[in-house]
Amino acid sequence: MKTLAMACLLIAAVSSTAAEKTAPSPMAFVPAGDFALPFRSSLSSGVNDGDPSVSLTPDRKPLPSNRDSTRNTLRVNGFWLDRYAVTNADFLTFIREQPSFRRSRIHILFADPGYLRAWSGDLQPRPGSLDAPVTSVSWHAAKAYCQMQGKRLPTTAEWERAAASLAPGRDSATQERTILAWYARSTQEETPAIGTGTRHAYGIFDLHGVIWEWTADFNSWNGGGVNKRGVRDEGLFCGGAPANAAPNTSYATYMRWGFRGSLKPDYTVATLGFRCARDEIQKGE
Amino acid sequence: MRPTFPFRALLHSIALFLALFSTAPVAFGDTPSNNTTKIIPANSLYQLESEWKRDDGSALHLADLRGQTRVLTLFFSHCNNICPMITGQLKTVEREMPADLHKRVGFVLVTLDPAGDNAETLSDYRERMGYSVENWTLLRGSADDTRELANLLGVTYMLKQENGQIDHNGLIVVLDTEGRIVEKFAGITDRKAFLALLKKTARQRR
Repeated sequence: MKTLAMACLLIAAVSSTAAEKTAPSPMAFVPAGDFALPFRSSLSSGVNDGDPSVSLTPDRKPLPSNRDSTRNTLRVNGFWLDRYAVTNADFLTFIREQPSFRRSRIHILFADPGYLRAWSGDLQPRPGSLDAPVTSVSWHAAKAYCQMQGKRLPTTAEWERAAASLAPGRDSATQERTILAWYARSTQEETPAIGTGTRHAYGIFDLHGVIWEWTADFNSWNGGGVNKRGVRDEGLFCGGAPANAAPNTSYATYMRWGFRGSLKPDYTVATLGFRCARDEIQKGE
Repeated sequence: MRPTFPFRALLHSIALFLALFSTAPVAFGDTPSNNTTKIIPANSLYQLESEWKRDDGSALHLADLRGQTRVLTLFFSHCNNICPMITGQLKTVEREMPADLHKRVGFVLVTLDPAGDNAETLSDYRERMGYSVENWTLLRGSADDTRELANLLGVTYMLKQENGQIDHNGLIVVLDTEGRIVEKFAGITDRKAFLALLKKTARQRR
């Protein structure tokens, strides 16, 4: 309760400094900026298979002069991100309206048998867990949830850009230590409530320290398979790859890349949830 | 012994009702009701409700692809490495298909670069490749829906590179008349076997 109250205070503080007159929105705006890849890559800044979130900007910066001609930063457009992960309560509301995403009805193609495993019934989240992020949800269910809200899943670049941001007064070394300590801890029996993880800029919470989160393109960075021609980062994700990792990026970031690459879209994991994002809406809004 | 008029009218309205019912969107995981209309099978790709656009601009739901065996692959029109090989192989398969298969097998190409491909580039591509309207369906969807379809097919693709190329695994997926995955191919190495599979799938009654 105390944390919740503190969280509210913090949101209030953030919104007033952002000169927002309205009540704190459940989403926060993350302005355009560069995002550091944990590896060198020949990816275009105009990346992302039609997703408007990362696009070719007219005033594109020159390539950072890394070893060989590959880059290790991508330009991310401004976007909105949910301040908190989607909770069991949120997800309950969703599946009340969408029976096809209930545990007993979920389509075999869209989720493995562990879907919502902590719930005791179709509409019964574990007692006391309403404020905790929903976990054991597949990528398909997460996508459908966000779509229902008129949102979408954040891209990996967007998520990582937000996750690299720090709340005022925080330094990155402390943040990195917190994250690695969290990764090293064994999974807790119960997922902690939202607001108990890390704090970030823009009034965003918990990108580390509570759950891992799905991204729209979680499997699009290292799964090309048969057609690797033209990909110059040969060390990508093989044993010694972290030694090849680009500078200025953390080992924790690298671990997330490895984790995402091991997922399949129907997988459900007890520590994996999601939050939604939205494009920067047209100016004047 | 023709049925009397009211009886026929009754049959007619039942048929109409069933027809209407079967075109209504089928909710995922819904248990099929025990009537005799064709319900989309639970493990069918055609459960997806996403909307796609053909290269002539018309809209399509995947369930519209029912009724024919489908050979589906993801590509993009400016792809210069794996796609030409795959689409070339499919073209050869089409050429070698016996006449009766032409009406039962359709090829579906879905662009995985909806930002780079539009109706015009796809239609140009159709012309360039000599794809007939009857046998080839070229589709474009939203980025998210494309990702979802790829995810269900097991197609992975990376983000666009600076040269505009998108690395992907060139899976060719054979779907039965109800949209169930019959088999996936990483390129067609044995055309005879591939044609035999098409024949077998197309002639199967569901």
